[in-house]
Amino acid sequence: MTVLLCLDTQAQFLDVIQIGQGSDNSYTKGEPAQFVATYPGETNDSIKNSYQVNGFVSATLFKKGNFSLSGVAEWQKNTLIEKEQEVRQFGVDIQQIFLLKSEPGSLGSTVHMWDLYSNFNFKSNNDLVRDEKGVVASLSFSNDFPVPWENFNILQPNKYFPASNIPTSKYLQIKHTHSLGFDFLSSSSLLMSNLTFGLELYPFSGLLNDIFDRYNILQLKGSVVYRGELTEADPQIDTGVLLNYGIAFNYKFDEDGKTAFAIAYEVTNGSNPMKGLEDQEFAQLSFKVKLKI
Amino acid sequence: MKISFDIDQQEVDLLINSLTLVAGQTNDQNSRDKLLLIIQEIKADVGFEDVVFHYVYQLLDPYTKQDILKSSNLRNGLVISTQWIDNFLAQGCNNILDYLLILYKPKKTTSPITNSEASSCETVQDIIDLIKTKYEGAL
Repeated sequence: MTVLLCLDTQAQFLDVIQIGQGSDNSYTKGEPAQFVATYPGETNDSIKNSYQVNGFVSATLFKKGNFSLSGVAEWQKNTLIEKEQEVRQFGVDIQQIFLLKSEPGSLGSTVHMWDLYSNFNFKSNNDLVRDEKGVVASLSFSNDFPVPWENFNILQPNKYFPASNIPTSKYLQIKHTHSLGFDFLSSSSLLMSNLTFGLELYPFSGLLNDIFDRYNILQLKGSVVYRGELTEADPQIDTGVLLNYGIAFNYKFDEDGKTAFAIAYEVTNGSNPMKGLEDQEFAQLSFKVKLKI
Repeated sequence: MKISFDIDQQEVDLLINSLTLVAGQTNDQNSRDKLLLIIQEIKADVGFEDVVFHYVYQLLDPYTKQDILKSSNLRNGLVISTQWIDNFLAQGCNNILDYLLILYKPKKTTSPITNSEASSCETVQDIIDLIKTKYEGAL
């Protein structure tokens, strides 16, 4: 008998507890956590049980204004791939949003023209595959420009372009994100630069909205993470480029997205030394259900 | 007793006209007074929604080049940054809520709007409804 358990979740409870795929930066924080377990059963002793867990849980310990301090527990395990991965990390995550350019708005509000999101995390790291212990630390920055520019608005991150009243939005909308910073892995004394760029394409966004009354149903998604070695590299550690790309079908049953369903096919190609992922390529098809109570 | 249901402007007009007609036809003074009070409250409620929309409009206006309607989609229609919605929309909504409480319910307080509540809003109408719900729940 084969038992397959699969759960894909991204959630936030009362703004205190957060669950996501990785705590490194704002991009991976927004991705859903994944849990897969396969138990072939007693009649199939030749096949081992296998697991995939890519997720973190963080709890906000202190928050004031645009500063927050959270405790983080993260588990990245995948025995379903050629070069297995298992790291367990515990530590703290600090987020500070700097308002680099702003002006007073209505009723005491602030009009945000340029915000810089900074994220620092420091965690103990136990790599069970390489049998190494140490600490990992990441510092990342991403920009947000909420007020529209006069020109080249499409370069502004975290926004869907073009607007739904522009005819071409019926055929395509795009959104992009980015982050840049540094990663440190103590077990190899390795300091790396980190540049992450994510691109989301939504084909037929407006046309599908006309039919289903929902935007962004069909999604083509890609991200590239480039890690450059700033200190002498350990030949045992794979750095370089990590590519993720795939296609997803997302459908929200209710307007506020509390209940959603998705099917996604995603390919991963490359390595992530911060998560014990060695250089390889694998693909996965997942069925996702989101229930928010 | 509190009765709550969603109706559009056309239905509001129909309801007010119908109640006004009934109030004009009844001979019972007590019933007429109560119907006139209900009509007055419906009119105040409709007016209050426009007041909330006015402040929500002011909050969102710097962040979009599009026309802001109650039905506008925040992310796909007004092209407002998803990061700003997730991290700062709640703050703007709470400023409006505090102002309305000072203005109309000076001795009452309510729980603040959280980031997750604000980021679940899809349209301008959702923001208005969220602020109104919190305002009506003020004790």
